[in-house]
Amino acid sequence: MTDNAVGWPPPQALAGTRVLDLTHYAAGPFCTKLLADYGAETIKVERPGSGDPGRRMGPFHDDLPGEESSATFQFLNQNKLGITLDLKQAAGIKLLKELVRWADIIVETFRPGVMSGLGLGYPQLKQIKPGIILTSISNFGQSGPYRNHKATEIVEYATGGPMIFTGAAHREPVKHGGRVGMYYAGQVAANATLMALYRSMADGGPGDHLDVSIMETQAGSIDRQSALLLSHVYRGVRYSRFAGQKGGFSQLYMSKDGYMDIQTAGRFERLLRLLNRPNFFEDNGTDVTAGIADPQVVQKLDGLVAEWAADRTQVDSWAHSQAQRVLSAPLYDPTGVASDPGFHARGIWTEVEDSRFGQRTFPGRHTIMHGTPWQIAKPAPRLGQHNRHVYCGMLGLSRRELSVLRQEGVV
Amino acid sequence: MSSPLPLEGVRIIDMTLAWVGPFGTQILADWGAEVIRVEPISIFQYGTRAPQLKPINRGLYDWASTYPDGDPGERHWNRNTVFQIHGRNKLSITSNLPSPDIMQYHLNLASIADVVIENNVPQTYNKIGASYEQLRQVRPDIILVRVPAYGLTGPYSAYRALGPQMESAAGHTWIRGYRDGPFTDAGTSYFGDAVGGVTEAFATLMALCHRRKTGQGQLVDVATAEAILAYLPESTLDWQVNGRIQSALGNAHPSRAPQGCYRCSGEDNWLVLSVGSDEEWVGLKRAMGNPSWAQDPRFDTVLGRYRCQEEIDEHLEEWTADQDHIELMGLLQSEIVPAGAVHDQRELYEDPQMVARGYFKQLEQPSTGMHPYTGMMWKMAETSNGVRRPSPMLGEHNEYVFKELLGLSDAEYTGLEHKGHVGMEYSAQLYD
Repeated sequence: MTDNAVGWPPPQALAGTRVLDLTHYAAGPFCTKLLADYGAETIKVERPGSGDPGRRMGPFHDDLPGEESSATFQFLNQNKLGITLDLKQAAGIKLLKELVRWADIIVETFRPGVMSGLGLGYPQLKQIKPGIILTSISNFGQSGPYRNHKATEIVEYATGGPMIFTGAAHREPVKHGGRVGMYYAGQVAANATLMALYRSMADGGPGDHLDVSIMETQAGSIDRQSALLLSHVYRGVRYSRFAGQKGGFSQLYMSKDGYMDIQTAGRFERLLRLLNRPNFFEDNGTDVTAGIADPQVVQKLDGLVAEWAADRTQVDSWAHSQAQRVLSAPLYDPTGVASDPGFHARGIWTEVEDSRFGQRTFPGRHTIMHGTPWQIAKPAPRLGQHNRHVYCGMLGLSRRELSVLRQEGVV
Repeated sequence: MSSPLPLEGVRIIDMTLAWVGPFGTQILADWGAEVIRVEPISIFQYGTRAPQLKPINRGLYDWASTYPDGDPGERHWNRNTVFQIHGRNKLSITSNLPSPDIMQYHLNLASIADVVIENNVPQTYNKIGASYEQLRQVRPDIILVRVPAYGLTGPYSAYRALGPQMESAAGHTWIRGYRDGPFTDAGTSYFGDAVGGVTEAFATLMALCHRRKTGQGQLVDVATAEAILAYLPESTLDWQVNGRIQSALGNAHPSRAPQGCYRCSGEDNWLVLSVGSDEEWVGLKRAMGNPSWAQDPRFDTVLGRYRCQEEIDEHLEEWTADQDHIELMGLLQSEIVPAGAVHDQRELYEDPQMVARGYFKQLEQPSTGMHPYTGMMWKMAETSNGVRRPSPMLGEHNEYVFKELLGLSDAEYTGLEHKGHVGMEYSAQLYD
């Protein structure tokens, strides 16, 4: 299951880095997944009994919900060791502190104040383990009047700003698909963590507390939002949703087997070469500048693109338009994505063997690091799967002691 | 606030364009890397410093990419919003691309760099003629990060794309937007560029960590479309494990109901809320003053609310329609219901949370004046969180980089000028 681009097993980029993972749901686990996928030794701590609520996020294998059957949970927690620990008991806190001594990095997604309440705030953690890096991911940040506010992804997208300009002018604002905002926040947190790790790897490099507000990750996103905020102060205009199409063009054109996304605005000479109508504007008694301002001319050109696309398959029109350097792509549904030969050729899918479900295909590698590969070394842990490995093997508890902790519900 | 910035001492040669690449180097520059942008003045990089060389007024179509008071002014490429954001904390030098000595020019820069980052289509960077192996000869531990749309290998390596196209190919366009509307109604907000940028920075940081440990650099291949695909596990996995083709859910949630976006008083004001547990439902009812419609026993359970979402939505919108969206956010949050106002730009600048956390940073840029900018993407408790300098003017740091860093004499610098590498304006031929 190693990266296709690397034929031998060199070390991974984050090998030797130890991560204590106190996260749940999507954003935090995606952060620690990225670290674990590139070699960080990661111990995921879950509540005894019910575990990470992310175990209840769909889709489930064969549509059968159960704490061991969430495909999303598995995707997010591959490569991690899994233990259970009750942080409401003193014995649980004591064990956690031993794990803090083991760790280089702690990532947590509790409500702000919970870690301090457990005696595990950054100042205390720093005393237990000098140089520790603590990454806290929260809805609105560790400080400020909203620090205890509740949110799901749609709330972050709305309050952070991008939602007001997403959707159609005549309708309500609409969010992005899936949970992309949460994964984005997770990756931002992974960046924050690695910044601090890089500095701490220097001689005498200090640790730090990284405070990631999911709302702020939306507010500062390059995807129109950060530039739009500045546009607002530049011009005093309130930017909301557009009416209809981009500059009069459809952008999406139906081909023989699905839509094609073809960027018509912009480099018209390329588009006209593609359509084999290099003199389109002259033929219509105009030029580019005047032509694209004339709705009738735009409609005519738009119709020509539609005709062109209708005659071809997605992959065909993709290749032809790219040959003329026209920006384009197929609008794939999940089947299209899964069967696309290009993604396959790059080894984007990964087969993961799991005793629970057999072999399953997961979306995999992010980045090809030629010197330090990505890999999935193990499937996501069953709840408490590595209790003995961690408590006995790493922390030196006897099996009898572990049994006592089990009976008392600590693990 | 005493620790050094994390990337202090890391020098990055930044050959990125458009939005993906520069966003990645923005993150690295924000936290202390010395990022030197190398900007060709012999060609115009579409959409990087401005949408086009000759500014034309396209009205709102240029909404995220505009000028103070809509006026391009002098050297408009120093004044456009997009570059003002991602150019901050960076230095700018210029080049003549392609010119016969461009490879040597590039290798000289690489010799003083820790990292080189570019996100052109692969054939463009290859034209310079400097391979990773050649970079290693001038700087043995160099890290080269390349960020093409579909990667350096495979059948699509030469394909061109911006955020929208990569999102379409990776499967996001299919699942975003209204449940009942055409794809094109989802509008022009994309997240693919941001994903490519954070992935670029992430890969760079991993390579830097590895180099600090082992002294070894490496070549890194970041395909933005693949990074986007990894953000869509729900839809890709539902196909893989259940053979189901998910489609857009609009504002609904796969298991929480009601969840949606509801019209409030005033023009284009909206509230979102999301109810999962019974406790949250009871909180919502209390916030509404326990109206009689909400006492319907069908709504008492998660499943009942899920089945009756449309009916509940109608009632909710009646309730929100004549109320203030920001006040409603406060009321619902006080009842422990996840809810938020759909903030417009002014509301975000004035939002008490953003103000309390000092998120926005005032910054003076010589050719546009003083404006508030988006702040750092996270806070570091023991490190300064300020924006150090505004975006550079085109070619502003030519003398510093060529004379001070590379040690060129005045005569050699003049030589660069003659070869068309150095300038603060785009080449006159581009205007023909």
